[in-house]
Amino acid sequence: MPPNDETDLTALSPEQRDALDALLATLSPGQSLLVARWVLARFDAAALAEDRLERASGLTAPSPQGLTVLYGSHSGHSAGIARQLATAARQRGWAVKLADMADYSRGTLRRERNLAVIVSTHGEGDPPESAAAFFEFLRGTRAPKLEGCEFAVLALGDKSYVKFCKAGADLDVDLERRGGKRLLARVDLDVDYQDGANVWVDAALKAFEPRMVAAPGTVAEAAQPRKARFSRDTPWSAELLHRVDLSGRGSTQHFIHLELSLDGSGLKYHPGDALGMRPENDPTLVAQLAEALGQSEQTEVDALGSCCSLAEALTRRLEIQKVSPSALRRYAGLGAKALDRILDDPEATTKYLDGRDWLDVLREHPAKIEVNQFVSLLPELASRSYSIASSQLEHADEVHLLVSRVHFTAHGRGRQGVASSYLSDRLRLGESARVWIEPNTQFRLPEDSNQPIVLIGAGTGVAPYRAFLEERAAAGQSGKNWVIFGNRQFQADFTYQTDWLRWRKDGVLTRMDVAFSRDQAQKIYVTDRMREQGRELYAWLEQGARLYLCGDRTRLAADVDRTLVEVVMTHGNQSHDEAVTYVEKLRSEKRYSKDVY
Amino acid sequence: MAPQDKPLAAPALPPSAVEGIKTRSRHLRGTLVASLADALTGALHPDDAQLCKFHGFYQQDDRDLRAERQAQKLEPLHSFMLRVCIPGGVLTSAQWLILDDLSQRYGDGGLRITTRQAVQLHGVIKRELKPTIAAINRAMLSTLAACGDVNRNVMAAPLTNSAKLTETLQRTARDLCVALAPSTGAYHEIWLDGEKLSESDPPVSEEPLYGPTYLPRKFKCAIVAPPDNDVDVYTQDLGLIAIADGDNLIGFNVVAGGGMGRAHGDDSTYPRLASTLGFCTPDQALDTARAVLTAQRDLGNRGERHHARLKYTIDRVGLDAFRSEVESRMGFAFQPERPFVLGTTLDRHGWFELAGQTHLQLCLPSGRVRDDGNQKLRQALHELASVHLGDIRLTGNQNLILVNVASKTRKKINAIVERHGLLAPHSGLRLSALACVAFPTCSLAMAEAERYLPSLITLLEQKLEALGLKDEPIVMRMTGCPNGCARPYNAELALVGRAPGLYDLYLGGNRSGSRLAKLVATNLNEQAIVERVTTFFERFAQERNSGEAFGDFCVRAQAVNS
Repeated sequence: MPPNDETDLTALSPEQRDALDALLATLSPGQSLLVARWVLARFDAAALAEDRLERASGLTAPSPQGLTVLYGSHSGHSAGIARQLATAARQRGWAVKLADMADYSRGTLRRERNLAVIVSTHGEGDPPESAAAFFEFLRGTRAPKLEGCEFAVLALGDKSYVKFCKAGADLDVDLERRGGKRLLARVDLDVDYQDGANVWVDAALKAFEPRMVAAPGTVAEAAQPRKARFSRDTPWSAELLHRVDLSGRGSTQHFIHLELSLDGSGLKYHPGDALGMRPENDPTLVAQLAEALGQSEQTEVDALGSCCSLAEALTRRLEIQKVSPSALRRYAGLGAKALDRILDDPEATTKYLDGRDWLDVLREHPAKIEVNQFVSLLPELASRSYSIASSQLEHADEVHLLVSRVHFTAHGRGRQGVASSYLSDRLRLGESARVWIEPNTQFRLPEDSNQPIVLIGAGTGVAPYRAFLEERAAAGQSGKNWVIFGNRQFQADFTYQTDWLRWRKDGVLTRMDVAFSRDQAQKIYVTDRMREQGRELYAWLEQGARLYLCGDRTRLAADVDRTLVEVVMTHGNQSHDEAVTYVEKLRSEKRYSKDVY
Repeated sequence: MAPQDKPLAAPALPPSAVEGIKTRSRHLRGTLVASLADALTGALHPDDAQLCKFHGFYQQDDRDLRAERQAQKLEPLHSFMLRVCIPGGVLTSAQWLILDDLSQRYGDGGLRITTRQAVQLHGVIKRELKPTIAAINRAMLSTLAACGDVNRNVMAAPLTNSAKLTETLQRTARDLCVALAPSTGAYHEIWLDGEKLSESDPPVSEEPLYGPTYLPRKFKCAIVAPPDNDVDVYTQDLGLIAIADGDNLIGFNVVAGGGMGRAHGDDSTYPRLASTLGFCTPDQALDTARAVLTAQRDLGNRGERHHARLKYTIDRVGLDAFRSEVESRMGFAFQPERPFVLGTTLDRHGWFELAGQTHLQLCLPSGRVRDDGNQKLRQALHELASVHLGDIRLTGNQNLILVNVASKTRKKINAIVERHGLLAPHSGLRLSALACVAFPTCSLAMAEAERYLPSLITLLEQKLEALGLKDEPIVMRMTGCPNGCARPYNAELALVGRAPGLYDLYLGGNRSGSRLAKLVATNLNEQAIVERVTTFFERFAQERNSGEAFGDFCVRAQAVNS
């Protein structure tokens, strides 16, 4: 196939082009097509995503030639010097990124090549409060290697304190320890810092200058392994890097944010995709079951056709919390005769099984059965799927999840969701979970990066929207973004609040409406906000906006559908039927996508 | 008097950022309405977070939770401290009950009596600011100008030897508050649903006294009746020292240029006691105050906020030149200062008779009114206010007086006092102690103050008791930063926070508040504080002259370089 105008092969060397031409000359058109397909399949999404990564990092992350001015400030002095340096650098035509440690995106640190840092010291040698997390990050196990990064540190302090400029000194050491190269010796300044700061700014400009005019370097990222096919049967072992309960004090729920490592897996995902995961049962419950069965946990059993210990079977392979009526019937048939009375009445069976697991059944209706008979009653432990809450443009080697931790008490015992408690409590930092990517092509950002989007979600339904906004922010996409989010309390349950505020400040988040149901006597939901903002919502739809809905299937989805029809009726001056058709059309044109569960 | 060929002027400096915010604010309107409506944050727009001070409240956040919430991707837990102006510290019992109720409904459950006879509610969240401020105004109180670069709450002696004189001084305080208040319609528009001004700039005539940029910095006034100096008159920007003959007020000695604030490591900032301008008659008092205020408005430093208080203006232009400037603005000259004697800055404690009336003064540690375990101070004051028929007056030492207790209610009041142990014996040190709020809400705090002082006093009390000094009144004050809200720099013993757990030690102020203390040691931790202070207590116990106060001893014995 001869190169056409749109195919730019100048990226190849003359030798490579000659070789390719020679090969193509020997191929029939059919063979050429086969080769083309084969090449595409081999590099497919992985290669494309990587290509996108590079383009995007060229837009927002510092180019190898750019300067990043990073500051940690309490009373604004460091910030002032940082702005001074950034302004002077921009006047020289350099690409400059000015960032506050408080909201500096950690994922970009590994791509920094030229880093000027200004930080003050407080109290007993501490960094500014807002920079404390960044300092911790740099010292932690997740800090990236900074080889290829050259840096200069300016430390502000107050000589009347014992640990003068200690935070700056610490940072200076830490950057070098991570592999960075010190371009300028650190400068420490006292409270009368301005003259010294001017001198330092000049010195920094001079020091970074040769690196700014240097020819485009070849700082290629380490070659990524080719995309591997991880799946439910061959999952990737993703190390848990970070976990935090996002629900503030006073919250009645627990939204757990998790960050898992994909480093080395080659796994690629799109915002909107889900992460498949095989959970593990609670070992305490497993031990109690073994005890109720009168068996050692080491007993060999046959689980789903292969041999393993009872502990392995009950922990990792089989479902032990949910009891189906048919399994209960089979169990009764094995000797628990007293259950027959319950099983005779379907309603009583449902009622009995509500909130009960196998431990309850074994304890309340003991039967003398073989351990393998019991094991054969249990179905395979189902895998779970969670909407991904991150973009790889921002976190290349990570995947973030938002999980609601479920705890409740039933029949006198504390209960917990299998997967949510596994991810929230049992999986420890440094341990790995079995994961794979589950693509969701129906719930992707629009192809057209200019298309406006309206993201409606409640509770953990906000997770994919964080991924969407991260992606649009990192890629510099210009489409308008509107989030309508609902949860319980503003102070404690505003999930990812600082991310939204940052995106709003940066102009990425065009508007956001929030509904906190429990902040006032009268409950308020996202549908109330849709109604209040109906005129604007209809205007966005008329401008071609694509609508997304994510969250609870039963409680949220139907209400949002109904409200949407109302909005179209009211503000589009349409009859009910016309409005229903309008919403149907949105759906058929793929402008109304749902991810409900 | 210097020839006036070269008129005095403000320093020629580019205006500070806050000056820009004030200038753009259209007489304090800013974008407060939009800030209040922004549902994505519990904070105000940064500019509005400055302007809101003029409306009587500060934006704060729980600093104990900052790091935790940052990790949770939640913004800091913002809330607001609302300050209620109470000229002369005079409240009715009914007003006290309303403030108490508001603290339960919208605040953190407690009230704080300030060092300026005002009352603060803490922990009010953004969406409840409006109902709270509206309710305060319905109670015939206001938050306008309780903070900000304007004249703040005017202090006055809560009691004097004459009931008539007290009333005259209290009336003067109220008149000063009114005369020196901003007159912008912004407050009514935003909080009380007053008629909105159009979007265009407000007319100059809306703010005739202050103009569009208000003052360079805060401005504090107080009226004192010698011999008591419970308002600490020398720490004020403008002090009026009442000269009276029995019931009759003859006039005021006017002092100006006091102020406590300084910054660590910056010697160009310093505490200063007010200097004497001269004497004026009662009917000249408002004109005098206006002249001092407008002189500072026009001459003060608007480039550097840490040099913007009146004290720096006076030191820059010279006291004589400043006096002439004020006199030319008043249109008359000051008379020579009249003789007077100041006694103590300390309050009484318990029941006492004055001017034929019976009063009950309660000592409230750090002015903190709240229910805390078994100590239910809020509940106690609620009960007292429900029974007491007269006024409640707040003091500059963060204490509270039930004024003119009727004989028929004394028994009931005594029962409440006893049930709650309100007159439990305290050491002289504890009764006199003042502390600012500091952590966790004050954004300026570098070290603990109010939360920490009681336990430090317990350590010092053990030493004092061993030395037989348990009942010795010693003016002790603690602040969490060098800005001086609890007036540390003229105390006999003061600790000024530098960093968590570290304080600078000052000694040698006097009981009447007319002498500055000296810096004795820096960066002391608790153990070092107790050791150093105990050394002085021991020498004081052994070497003091009869009746000599601790601060005076420290100076005489050259324990401090004076």
